[in-house]
Amino acid sequence: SPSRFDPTARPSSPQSEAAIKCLASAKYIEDFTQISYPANIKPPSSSIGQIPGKYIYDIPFLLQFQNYYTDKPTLDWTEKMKETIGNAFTEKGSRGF
Amino acid sequence: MQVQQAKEEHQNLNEAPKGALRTVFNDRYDFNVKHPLTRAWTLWFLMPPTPGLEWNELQKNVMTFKSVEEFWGIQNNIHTASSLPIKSDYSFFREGVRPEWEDVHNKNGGKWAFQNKGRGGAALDEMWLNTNAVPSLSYVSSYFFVPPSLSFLLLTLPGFGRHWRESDPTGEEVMGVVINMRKGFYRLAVWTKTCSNREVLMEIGTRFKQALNLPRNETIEFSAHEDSSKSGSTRAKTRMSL
Repeated sequence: SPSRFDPTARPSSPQSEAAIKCLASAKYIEDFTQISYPANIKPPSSSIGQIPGKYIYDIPFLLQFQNYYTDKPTLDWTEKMKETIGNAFTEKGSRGF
Repeated sequence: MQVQQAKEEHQNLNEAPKGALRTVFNDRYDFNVKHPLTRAWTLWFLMPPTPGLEWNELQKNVMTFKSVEEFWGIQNNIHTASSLPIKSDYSFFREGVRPEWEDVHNKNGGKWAFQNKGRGGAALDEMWLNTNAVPSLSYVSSYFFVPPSLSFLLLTLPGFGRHWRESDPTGEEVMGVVINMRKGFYRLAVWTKTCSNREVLMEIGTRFKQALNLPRNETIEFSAHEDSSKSGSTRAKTRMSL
């Protein structure tokens, strides 16, 4: 399975870019019966709520994504971070007590 | 022969046929469908007070997302909650709702809050690690608990999982979650639409407390935004506690 990664040390790569582009262009799943999950993945639960055809993302299901989608959420994420978070995390005196 | 067989099995496991629907689990670098959320959520970052900026300019809309994959893309590429600067917040709120009392969607609402000393890092990690109280998490490995995780709260919220709200009235009440990092303490809260829907609010509080995995002697408190805005953020009257 994919190894754990360090978000602060991650270089961009052609693979990362491919993943980010997939994220942007992927369509939302409409019919979960059309999806086949690999055998090592626990699929979403269809039993909670007892609604036929409806699926619930329980916590174990959601946590599985953590090591599968590790790339930035958008191609312009670094710029976005500069605009919104800026240097708030590195300002002198802002950390610790 | 065995090698060949293993190879084929591996391919069957991990590769869906071309043209089929492929999730990130099938191919991390060539997927074509993603997992939708019940509704869109926005991550906000409240900057610490900054000379030259008005209060309402400090609240920054980072990104709106509507899939599980986008959520992890954000979560895996932002600073952890425990490293937030003093006087800053992270909030996940419904799209279109600002994480402020003044927002029209929040004016009749309130919040369940848990407050604790320190920056949360080790204390929160410990709470997360004490997993037995939340059966669904009992097999989650420890790496998840390294960053004290706002995401964990979000994942447990009604409305985050697709279709949950159709069978669950709490999905209509929850407006968002916030972590406030302050000098000497942090506060985690779930904001609700009303203060009056008592039964549903108690259910939300119960789930919130379960998600935090608090020891029995710790309490969470519900207060109305109306009371908070009159009396200052830290001294609002408690309307319910759990």
